[in-house]
Amino acid sequence: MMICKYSYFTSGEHRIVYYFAPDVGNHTLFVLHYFRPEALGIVPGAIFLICLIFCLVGFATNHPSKLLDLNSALLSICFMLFLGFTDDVLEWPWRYKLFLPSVASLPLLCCYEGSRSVVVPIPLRTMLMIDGELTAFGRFLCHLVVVDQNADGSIINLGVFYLVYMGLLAVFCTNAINIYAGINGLEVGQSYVIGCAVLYHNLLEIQAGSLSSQNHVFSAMIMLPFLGVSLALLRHNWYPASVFVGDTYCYFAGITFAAVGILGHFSKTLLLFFIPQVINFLWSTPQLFKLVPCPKHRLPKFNAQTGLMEPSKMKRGETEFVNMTLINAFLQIFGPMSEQQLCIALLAFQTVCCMFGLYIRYNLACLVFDC
Amino acid sequence: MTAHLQALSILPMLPPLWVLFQLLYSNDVGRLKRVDIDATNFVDGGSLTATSVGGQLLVFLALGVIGHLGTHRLIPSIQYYMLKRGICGKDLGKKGTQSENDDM
Repeated sequence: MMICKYSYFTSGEHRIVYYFAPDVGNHTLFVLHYFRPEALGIVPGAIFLICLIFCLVGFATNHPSKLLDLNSALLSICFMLFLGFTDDVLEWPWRYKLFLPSVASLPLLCCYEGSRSVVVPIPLRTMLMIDGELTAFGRFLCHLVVVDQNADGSIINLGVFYLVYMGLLAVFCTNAINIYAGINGLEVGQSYVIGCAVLYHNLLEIQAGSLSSQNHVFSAMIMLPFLGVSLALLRHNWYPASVFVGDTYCYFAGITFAAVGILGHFSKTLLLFFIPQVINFLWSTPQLFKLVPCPKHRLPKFNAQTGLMEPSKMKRGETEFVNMTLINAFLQIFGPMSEQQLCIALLAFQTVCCMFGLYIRYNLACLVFDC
Repeated sequence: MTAHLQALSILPMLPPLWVLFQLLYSNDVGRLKRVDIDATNFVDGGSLTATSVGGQLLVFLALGVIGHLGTHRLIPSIQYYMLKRGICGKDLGKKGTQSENDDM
């Protein structure tokens, strides 16, 4: 007996055909090879959580004050993993994708005990205070935040606005990886490179014996298992991919970075490692906010004749314009290339940006801040 | 993923591994002790030794390796269940090519 099953996606154009042949013993499954299994980010996510639970037993029993941090990180990551998997299965509308990560970041914000102040860059301090007196702008700012007059306006306590900023950071991290995707290996590859940069930063701080070393040990504890599971997924997702990572992995990676950035107290440094994602977000803004038409998929177009990827285009009236993503911009600048070459080029760009971020953090920061 | 690409993927990991190696085998115990002094603020009823930070990092590294091996082994099994449940997608980057029909 042969059973056929037809399944349709929301667009109705994708059809999957299953052929079960019970008479051969174990059910044999044949699927049209055009399709690849999706949402495999659930596997590294689950393994990562198991590793983190073991860390909970070992690390947090020695450091009771860090137990709350670790539990809140676990809760946030679990929630986003669940949200990502349901998104892959149910395809949530965009409004939920923006709202739910901010809910997921609440456990992280609730147990945040670090400073809510920011150091004002030296060139901007004269805008706040001159000769020990607040300027008009400084007095206006005092209605919203606390300008430290004893420090000559070099420190601003943002209070609740700092928590809002960190909540937005979680939303940004999760969605930034999700929208900078679409070719084999890019989602996992970029997360892996960012993770390496974060770990490098953590270890440098531990080596230097900085005051927040324990926070960096905590961050390294999360990053090492994350890098392990991500590298394994990359081996399966690399071109030609045998599995797709889905939104599950994008959200899982994003909230993991947000968790280490917030609980490790280096959220501003973390943003320096997200330079390509920031560029992609800013470049995509007109399409994301519907100022210009935005199709469901903006990934590059594959030309079967040349075997190369080309920038995808969108029609607006009678004019055509290239979809506004960093991937398409890369193809416009460097010309058509194969999917693997494109992925390697984008990951090389990510690596260079992370190195530049580290250079800014350890060298250029002294030009605008007190060192 | 070919062997040379696997080697390439290790490149971003080399700088943190180098610092980790330095942390584990550094003779500059004074620096590590500074870390431990901070760390003792978080410990109830005990203090960390000079090597405990390095020891902790080694344990986390081991967990990372175990996580890597576990994920690598589990993915081929789980992908079967994903296909069975119809959780799959189209690879638009291979439409019209030979690899479109490659076995998974």
